Amino acid sequence: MSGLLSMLFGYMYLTWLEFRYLVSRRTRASYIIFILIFGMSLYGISIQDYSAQGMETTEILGELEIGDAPLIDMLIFIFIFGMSTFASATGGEAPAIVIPAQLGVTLIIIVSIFLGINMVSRLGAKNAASTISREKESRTLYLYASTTNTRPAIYLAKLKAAYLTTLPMIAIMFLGVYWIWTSYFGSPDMVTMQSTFQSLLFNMVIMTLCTTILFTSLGSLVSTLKREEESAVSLSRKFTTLAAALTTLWLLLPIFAVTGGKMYSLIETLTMLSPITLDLIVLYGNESTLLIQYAGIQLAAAAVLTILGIIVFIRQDIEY
Amino acid sequence: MITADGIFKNYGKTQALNNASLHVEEGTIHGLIGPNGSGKSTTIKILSTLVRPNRGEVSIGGVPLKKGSAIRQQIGVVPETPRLHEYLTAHEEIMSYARLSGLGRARARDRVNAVIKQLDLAMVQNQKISRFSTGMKKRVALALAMVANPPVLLLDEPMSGLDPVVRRQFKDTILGLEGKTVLVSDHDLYTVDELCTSVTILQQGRTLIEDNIDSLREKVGKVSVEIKPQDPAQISNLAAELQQMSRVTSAEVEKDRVVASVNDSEKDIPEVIRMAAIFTEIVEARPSKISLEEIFIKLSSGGDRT
Ligand SMILES: Nc1ncnc2c1ncn2[C@@H]1O[C@H](COP(=O)(O)OP(=O)(O)OP(=O)(O)O)[C@@H](O)[C@H]1O
Ligand SMILES: [Mg+2]
Repeated sequence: MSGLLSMLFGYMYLTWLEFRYLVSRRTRASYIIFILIFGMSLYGISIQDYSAQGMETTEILGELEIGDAPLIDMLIFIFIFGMSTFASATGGEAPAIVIPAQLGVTLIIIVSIFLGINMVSRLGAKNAASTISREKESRTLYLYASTTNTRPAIYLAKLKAAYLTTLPMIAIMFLGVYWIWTSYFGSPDMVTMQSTFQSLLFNMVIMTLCTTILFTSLGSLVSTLKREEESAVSLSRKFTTLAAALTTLWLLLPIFAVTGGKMYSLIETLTMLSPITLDLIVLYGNESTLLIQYAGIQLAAAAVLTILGIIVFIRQDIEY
Repeated sequence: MITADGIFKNYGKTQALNNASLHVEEGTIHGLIGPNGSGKSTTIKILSTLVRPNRGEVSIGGVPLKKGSAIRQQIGVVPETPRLHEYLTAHEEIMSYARLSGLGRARARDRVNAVIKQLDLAMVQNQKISRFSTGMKKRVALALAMVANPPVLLLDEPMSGLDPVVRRQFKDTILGLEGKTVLVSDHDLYTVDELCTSVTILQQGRTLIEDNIDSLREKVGKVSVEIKPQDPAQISNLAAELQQMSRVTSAEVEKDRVVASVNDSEKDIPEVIRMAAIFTEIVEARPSKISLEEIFIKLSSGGDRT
């Protein structure tokens, strides 16, 4: 009993130690960069003028189908905008950019949320990748492995600490999107958008949490497989970059639609390999069944990676 | 307290341990000696559950090695060259180790203060470990091993790289550990001789011998006497004559003298010298205590190299 209790204390303390280390030594800069970039993207949305048109369009987010790419809307809009303002622009007037509300939502999704999820999962993966590899490199892993803590407990405590470092970012994402919405779309005459927004916000938080768990688990696995911190971190970065690249393909699907046929379906399959694509599909589709399905897939993948990582870690010899 | 039988460990193609065994009685200080690469560190890493053996039965205090956490509850380990978190102070490192070992805040504070005092770290406890010398890091590592007050300490070459003053301090600390079971590895036999009552000798991953230091000395000839006769022609005769004595286990010719090992104790030496003096005129007689070094050379040169 006292053994169990001391293991629990040890586990909690280990989580705290790792969290403190990660926040004070690896994460502060990431937080600042995140706030800057995410803030800029939100600002980009906020300076648009949404009031002029398309207020209460019935064709809201929820009615767009999966695979419908937002870019096509945007390209059409920019084309129309260009044509319609061409005359006044040549006449020496500076045209105000007028964006319909529906497209504003799209912009939030593709620019800010994509950016946000990408940065949060990057941080989780990077921090998790550093946890065990760092101690291996400095040969200090025995300082944990020779205490009563079990290897799974050490692995999970460090993983949890890495995950905890991402929570402030997710909170900022939530607050940022919430703020944008209430300031620009919160007026009572936009009632139909309120419920859309609520589920969007909810879905965003759930999917971001899940995707971050997935990437943090991946980072931990990478961390046990590598002997040096730098190589573990850079490998974990490659995974998040790959995911972001695949999701970018999803955003560009309308362009590939022109090429059509095999190429299109290949890219469509490829892009689904990225968890971030799944997130955007959930946000775009705005359906709870999709949310459950894709969140479930991501959590299951995270569990598999974590179990794999623990097995690898248990079997490893620790040098001092 | 510690029993290990038939341990095998491979690192890829390197066979670090090849049927090693080790038995340490409760409350004793036991030496683990062997030349470089003989598997001392590997043995200690296995006992501290850091490394998994390929094969072998190991238990500490009756707990089998598989129950890793229960094993670790009983041990404190000091690595050969302790690496610590350089960005922490000594106090922070010891404190976090205590907390990681599951000690509550108040109990941890008491234990940390106790070991800091015991190991004379009070002056430097608030300095960053990155500024510490090897000897200081070793002291911190020993403090870590002792902070949760485990009954068994596994010390991998605790004396190497220390200056004579710190060495002495370490020796006193280890000898002063009451009621603890201590395993000390070293390739320096002198160290082990100073500290231990029993030893295990490893060679090429195999246990060559396990014994008390005293009975080991006796087996190889604990006490011997060197006798130099005046007449060199008499050397082999003298050896033969002494060999006949019941008290003499062996009498061998070495250069210009006879080395006679006696059975029991140093009490036999005057008798041997008297016999030699009756037989022939002797110019020099000198008792000598065989050191572990000699035991080791003797055993390992006679030991198999297969
Ligand atoms: N991680 C490892 N990978 C590969 N080989 C290893 C590893 N650790 C030890 N060995 C090999 O195993 C053998 C035993 O090593 P070990 O460190 O146990 O010896 P030792 O008796 O402690 O030596 P020393 O006196 O030099 O400390 C050596 O041949 C060594 O090269
Ligand atoms: Mg060694």
